[in-house]
Amino acid sequence: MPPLPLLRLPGLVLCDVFRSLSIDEKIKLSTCSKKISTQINNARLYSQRVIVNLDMINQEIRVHSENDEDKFDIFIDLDSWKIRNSRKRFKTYWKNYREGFLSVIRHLLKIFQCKIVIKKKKKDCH
Amino acid sequence: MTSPASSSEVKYLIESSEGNTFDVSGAALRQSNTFNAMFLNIGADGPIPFTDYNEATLKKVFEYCEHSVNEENYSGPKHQDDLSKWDLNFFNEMDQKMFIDVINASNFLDIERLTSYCCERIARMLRGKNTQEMIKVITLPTAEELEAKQKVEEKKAAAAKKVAEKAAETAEKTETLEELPVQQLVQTTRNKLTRKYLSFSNE
Repeated sequence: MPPLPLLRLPGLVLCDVFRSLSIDEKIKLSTCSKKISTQINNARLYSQRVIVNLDMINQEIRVHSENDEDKFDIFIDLDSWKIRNSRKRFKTYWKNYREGFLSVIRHLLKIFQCKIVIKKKKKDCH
Repeated sequence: MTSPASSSEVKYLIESSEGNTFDVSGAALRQSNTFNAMFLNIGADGPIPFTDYNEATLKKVFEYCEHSVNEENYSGPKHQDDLSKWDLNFFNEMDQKMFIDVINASNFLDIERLTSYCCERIARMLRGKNTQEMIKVITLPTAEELEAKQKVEEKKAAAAKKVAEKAAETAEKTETLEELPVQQLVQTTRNKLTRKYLSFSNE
């Protein structure tokens, strides 16, 4: 099938398309272009709410829906430039962890404008 | 005026962008919320103009509406797996251009069921793909294409700047040429006047 001009579709149709996509599909799509990430942000009110969970110990960011049915993990890693995709995981490579975390969080906030939760150590919970 | 009960028997004339008209049943048209809001309750005397869309697209949209007249009331979007054989054939028959035209028309006519099926179909095109595959599906320009486009734009801007500079230079030249005789004229008239004044004062 020939390529589909997604950004030329009417706004409401685009909202409907984003609503039927899962969190991982939206994140992957948002990395395709800035315009698409803006459109995803515009459609966020019609889509499911998202929570970002920061796990600093395992260098992992978990993005999940409120009911935790739909979830997606982003790993922050060092020493490589390439981004590796898999079905429910996304591995990103940065110069240092701080830069990685900040960039990924900034990107996620831009798309979803969501709540951020920081995972505490088990010792701190008690 | 047409009552909702008799609307299935009533036929409406629809006018396409080519100026052609064709019949559509009231029951099929009732699925369009735009039509419901605009015409169904007040009736339409002449053909209803949907002149933004061509005949083939409108016929395709109303073919779907005619088919889904007898189906149960629409209750939210369904998964593509739930589509009937007829629905799948309906979508598979269309080429890409027609598919986009149908989406635009169904969005304008506000036919919820058709719009949501179309959206689900688009979502299905993106499902299970990585970023590179998604870029291929949705026709985004690659980094190289963007660079080439930027270079062409820069060249165009430079050429336009050169043309503007040349035009400004020629305009300056013409201005100086035009100014010379005027200055001469002013000088000569001034000389004449001073002479006259002098002669008058001498008398």
